[in-house]
Amino acid sequence: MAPYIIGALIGAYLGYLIYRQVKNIKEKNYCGSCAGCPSAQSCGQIKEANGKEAPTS
Amino acid sequence: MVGKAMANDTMEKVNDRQKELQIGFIGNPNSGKTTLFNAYTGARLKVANWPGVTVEKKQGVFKYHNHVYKLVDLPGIYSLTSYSIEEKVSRQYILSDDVDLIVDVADASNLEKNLYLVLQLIEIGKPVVLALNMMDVVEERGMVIDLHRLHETLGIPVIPVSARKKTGLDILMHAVSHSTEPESGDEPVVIYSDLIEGKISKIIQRLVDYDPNIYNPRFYAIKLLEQDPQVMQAYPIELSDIVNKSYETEIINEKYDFIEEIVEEVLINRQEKAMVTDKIDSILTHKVWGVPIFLGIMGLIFFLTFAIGGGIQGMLEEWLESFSIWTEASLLGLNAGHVLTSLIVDGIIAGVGTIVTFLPNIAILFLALAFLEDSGYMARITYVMNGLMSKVGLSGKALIPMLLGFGCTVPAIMATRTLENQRDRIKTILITPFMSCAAKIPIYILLSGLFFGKYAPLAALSMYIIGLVTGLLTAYVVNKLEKRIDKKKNRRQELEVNQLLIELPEYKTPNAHSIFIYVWENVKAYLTKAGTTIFLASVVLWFILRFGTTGFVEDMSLSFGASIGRILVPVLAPAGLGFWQIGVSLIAGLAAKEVVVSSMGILFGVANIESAMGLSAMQQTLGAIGFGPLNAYSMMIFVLFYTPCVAALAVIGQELKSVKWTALVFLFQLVFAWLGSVLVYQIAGLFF
Amino acid sequence: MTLKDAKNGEIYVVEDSIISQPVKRRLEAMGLIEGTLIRKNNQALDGSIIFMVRGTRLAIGKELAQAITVKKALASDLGKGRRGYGPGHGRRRGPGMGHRKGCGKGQAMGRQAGKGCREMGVDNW
Repeated sequence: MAPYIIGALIGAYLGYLIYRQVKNIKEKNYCGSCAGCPSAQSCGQIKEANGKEAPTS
Repeated sequence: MVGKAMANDTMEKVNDRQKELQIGFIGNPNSGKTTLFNAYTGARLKVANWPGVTVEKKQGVFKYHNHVYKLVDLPGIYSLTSYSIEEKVSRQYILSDDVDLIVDVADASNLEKNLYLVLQLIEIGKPVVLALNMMDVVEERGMVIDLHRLHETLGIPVIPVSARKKTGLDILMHAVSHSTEPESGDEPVVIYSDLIEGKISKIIQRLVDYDPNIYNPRFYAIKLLEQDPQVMQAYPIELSDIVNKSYETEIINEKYDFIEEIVEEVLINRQEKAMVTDKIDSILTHKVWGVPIFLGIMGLIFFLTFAIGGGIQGMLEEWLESFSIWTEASLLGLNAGHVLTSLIVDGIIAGVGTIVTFLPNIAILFLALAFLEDSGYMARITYVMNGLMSKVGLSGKALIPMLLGFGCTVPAIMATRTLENQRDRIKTILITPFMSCAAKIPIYILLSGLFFGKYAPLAALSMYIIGLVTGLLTAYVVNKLEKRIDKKKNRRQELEVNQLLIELPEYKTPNAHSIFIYVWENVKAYLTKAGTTIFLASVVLWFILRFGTTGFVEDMSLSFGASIGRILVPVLAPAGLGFWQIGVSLIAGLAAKEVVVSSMGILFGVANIESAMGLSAMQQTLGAIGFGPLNAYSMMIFVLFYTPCVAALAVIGQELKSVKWTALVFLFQLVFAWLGSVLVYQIAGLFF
Repeated sequence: MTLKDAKNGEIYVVEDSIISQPVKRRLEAMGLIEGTLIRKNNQALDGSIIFMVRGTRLAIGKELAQAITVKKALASDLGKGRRGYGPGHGRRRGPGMGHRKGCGKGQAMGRQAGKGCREMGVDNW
């Protein structure tokens, strides 16, 4: 029984990760793959953060 | 006014919307806007002690009694005349209709310089509240500011705060809630000389004729006198008889006359406490010793990262190995099938676990960078190294993004926004990926540890030196090319624009809290990445390496992965990397550099790459297929140069605003990596 | 003389700066205008310098240092008013204030509605 539960959990987590990845890419939000850098802050760390603020020139 | 009790829900909702005011935090660079913003919103935005840390507009929500405020943190500016990209963000926002109230965050310990922006902001005509930050420093120095008189002279609320010690925050918000209308706006704060005032009133007349509904025409009149290009565009009225030249200098001069008067009146007991900074500067920015000291500090940082971090990492490796063995045994005990066991042990633990063991190295590196940034030394580096940098056609300021690049390329590339010169900026963006980011540390440690024994730290350090030197050479070559093109097209570059010009903050003892935030945010991000991107990549890698056309395979050389890797073998062979395993690793590394190490964990097994005995076994395995120290070094060179991760590419694309250029950067790095490793392998091959 | 040729640790008065507009504006906004007192702190081998203006240290490259002309501050420049030279000590008294209409400083500073300049002047001077 236990192996099935473990397998299901891993499967569910993988599903979630893939869903998130696809969503991020669709939104052109590549920070999902770059949690490893402080720029993750610009990707919704603050509620209502206006992350994709384009540089104005 | 807010706060009236509303009878029904809809009315309340309308009222709520009215209550949500946008409050812009603006002020000189390094005056503590972000610290204040963090204190109110609970955000953990990066704070450090050099001008230009914040390069983006950030928003957060703060509730004060029954008001909901949208707080906006902005990059620091010295004046409303914008100079570099990040400053334009601030100017544009402050002049837009979005902002309802401006909180000017000023460094009270340096009132004179901060007041210039204060005066400009008041002239805009929007409600302004002056937050005198760093009052704790003022008190420490025994200075006294006559707040009452300052309020009288400026005509706006003046609130003493200390964002760091979180004092005065409530009073500031109280003032904000009562200042949503400008205070009796008619009386101008600065009255200029008769000449200027005469011109202002004439321009106001024409502005009102042009647009009868104009709000605060005085501000636009002043801007038109300064010949501000944007305002001139917005109000294209004929003024040549009044404005025969830009009066900006006169206006600045008269503002400063006024500032001096204010300062003389409100500042009591100024003290020359700043001498400590001068003393430290006489050593750290010394004519001769400045450069060696900087190189020494950088050397120390990498020594700590590799030598000390390596020790702790060794311990974690042993734990991971025992954990891996224990898990395998438990799974077998639970009667799990060998596919599931393999997924967990050979896929997830090998892929993700291996990455986690490098956490100490990452934490130490970011801790060191935090000290560099929070002490006040960061800005000095631009001065110390300006000579060398100008030889390759860059300003010393380009070093800030480059140094940040040792942590992560993404924020480093964002930091290039502080460079005033567009060409400087593009060159810096091009070379910043050559600065090995933290994600490459595991690869260097793993490969150098495997093949270079006690010289491992040296081999790793050499990557940083090679990266830096190559970056500088690239800048040099691009600079030469640019000059040649300029000469051909007869263009003249205004030299001074890429000249160094930076404010040096005072040294301070690094603040434990900001350092903690800095390190913790990076550690957290690293772990998050391990749990998400690397987890996913590891499972995918495990799948393609464990499955072949025949289903689950024990021998990975029969897997799909091996077939994919083999495609690359002929291309990589000249670099000594003609092994399908390396091909798979390098392709996987495109997602994130850490995945190169994950893939090695999956390919060779945790037990093999994590324990001393396993190491020698792996060396033998690799040796048997002909992969020796030279191949390892060649691979390190390849990893050093090759394409940055997806996030870095995305941010490069965002900053260069061109898909074509981004694709070029991508190809450039890839070709460079290949050429570099081929060169190293072939030339070194002649000697060894 | 230019700021590049000035001596470390000495105090100077800014005369002029011959620089392209954007950089000049930036320096002016930072308070470096004609008549400002500055102290040169340091000079690197390549000619970049650190100097102190209005309480802050600025680092500038060689070309900028060469473009700013200064003269040595006299004792009379330093002793103006309550302000001797020190960190943050600014300009000499320029003629600027004299231009103000009416009753001088008081009025320029008074922004409060309803308070005439005379009243403020009496209250606070």
